[in-house]
Amino acid sequence: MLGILKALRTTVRHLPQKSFTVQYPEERVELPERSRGLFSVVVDVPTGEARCRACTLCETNCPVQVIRVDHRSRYGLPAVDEGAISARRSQRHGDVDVGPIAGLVAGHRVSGESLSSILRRVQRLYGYLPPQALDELSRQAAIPLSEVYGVASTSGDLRLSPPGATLVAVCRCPACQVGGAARVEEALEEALGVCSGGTTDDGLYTLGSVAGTVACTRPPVVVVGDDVHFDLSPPRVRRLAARLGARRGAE
Amino acid sequence: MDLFLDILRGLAAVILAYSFVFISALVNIVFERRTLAFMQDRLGPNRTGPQGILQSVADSFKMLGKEDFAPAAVDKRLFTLAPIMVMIGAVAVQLVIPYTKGWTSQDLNVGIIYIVAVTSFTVLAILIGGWASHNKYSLVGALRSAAQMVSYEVPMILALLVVAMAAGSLSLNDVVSFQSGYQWFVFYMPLTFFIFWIASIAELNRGPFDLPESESELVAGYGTEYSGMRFGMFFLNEYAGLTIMSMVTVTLFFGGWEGPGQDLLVVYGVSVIPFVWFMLKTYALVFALVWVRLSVPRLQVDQLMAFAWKFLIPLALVNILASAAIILWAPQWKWVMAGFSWVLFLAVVVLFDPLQRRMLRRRRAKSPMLTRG
Repeated sequence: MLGILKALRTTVRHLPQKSFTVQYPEERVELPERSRGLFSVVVDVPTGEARCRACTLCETNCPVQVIRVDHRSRYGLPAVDEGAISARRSQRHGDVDVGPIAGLVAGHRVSGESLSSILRRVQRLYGYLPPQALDELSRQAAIPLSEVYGVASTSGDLRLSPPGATLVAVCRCPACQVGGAARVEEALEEALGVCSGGTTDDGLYTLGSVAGTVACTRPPVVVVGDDVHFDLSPPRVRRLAARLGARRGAE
Repeated sequence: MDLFLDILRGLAAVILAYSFVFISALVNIVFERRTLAFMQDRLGPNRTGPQGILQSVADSFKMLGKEDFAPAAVDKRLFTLAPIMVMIGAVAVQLVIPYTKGWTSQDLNVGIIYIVAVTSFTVLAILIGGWASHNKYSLVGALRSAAQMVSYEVPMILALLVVAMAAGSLSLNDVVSFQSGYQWFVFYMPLTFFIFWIASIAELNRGPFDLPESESELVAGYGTEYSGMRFGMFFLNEYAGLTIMSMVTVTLFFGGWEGPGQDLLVVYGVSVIPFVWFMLKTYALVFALVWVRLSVPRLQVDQLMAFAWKFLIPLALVNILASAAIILWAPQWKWVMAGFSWVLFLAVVVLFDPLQRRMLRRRRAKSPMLTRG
């Protein structure tokens, strides 16, 4: 009977609670910012044929690069100029040799290595994660491209675009945060003209972050290439930023 | 002239009783659906009418619009009789219920016995319906239902007898006036109320005792072959039963129509305010029935029977013997009764689980294959 009382208590506690029901036409679920809904190929009802003509425009414009138009499709599409498509693809991303991916994936099959660690190997190979490599990886490992992209875009150390020649990394360890890392980062962003994680147009610098350096006893710390700049007072930050900006101008 | 007035009065009472059954059924269906929904963090029906209050009206019109279908193999006369008969209990009980000060349709001096007798019509109707359907599912469902209702009628009557002994009368008006001054029976015989209430839930075929027609497990029990408004009658009766049984409970244990402001508004010798109190108490109990239905999982069929025969009936017997002795011999018997009833009631509530667990452990020790029941 005490158990029943407990059950009664549980149910009555839910009585005044807010309902989860979303009354659809009037109310809508607020989707996450990155949600893009589901893909589908529109099929022309009268003819039963797909409306897609494999123009690869969607592939070009997909903001998260997870669309891959497979023009050898089962929808019985008209013949497509495959050569033109692959030419356009390589023009967009530059030529990337996807040969070594197969080996990495084979290793993955044998050892059950996680996706993120394969992606790190891929990055070590190319310096970043080229779309063709992700594409090939998803094909070889039979992992949906969206999943591959999801892991690639959420891990801080994985890059989806080629890095600049020099990495400018602001330390984000607690000591540096207290020491004003945020303002240092702001100053560098202003000087280089890119946000954190971005690469300058001339491919010279990539602004990134590290978590902890040898010099963190004297915060804030910025690592430029192999040089460690520490104890950055506001004037020193300004000087550093100016130096970086000047070198850009010189080249 | 007097005869004419009596007939008119009787007619009014019957019409009132019937409309009460239908209206309360419709109200209860919406009430239950919405309460369950809120308890499950949903909204429930809220589209038909303001806050969905017209939902069951719409549903019953849908039912009325359906084909009046009877399968070829059924016993036509009995098949038709059952849904009509199922209402009798709910309607006839209202004859003796004192709704308010000055309104009892018929103050029978054997009111309690009358209630017990008349509510059995439901069992009969269910049996007839199951039998007439010529369908094994219906028959099995009907027999299960009848077995359950007959079993739980025993503790219910035993509990009612205690009330009758204490009040010294079988008339419901006397029972109510005996409880006046807020000396409600529930205060000094909670155990009796407890037994009566559990038995009445089982009588109503409601969760956790709703096996005869457990929606989620069985074919629909005795109602398998019924559709349209014939099914609707069974359904309405079941939900009207919530209110009717709660009204009986309120009359017997919660002082009936008693409440503050009794004589504020009197129309033709009938007080209005007590009626409001009566309905408020009734719907508090209806809410409790809905609440229990949602909270407690359904019993197994053997557990159901074991609970009635091995637990509830012995408890009711102990209760009735002790109560009779107390009423007969103890001076100031209300205090003695309160002490006895509360102690036993709390003991049952607290000790039920540990004792049950111990019993199960022992049985499992004897036969390791046994995991439940």
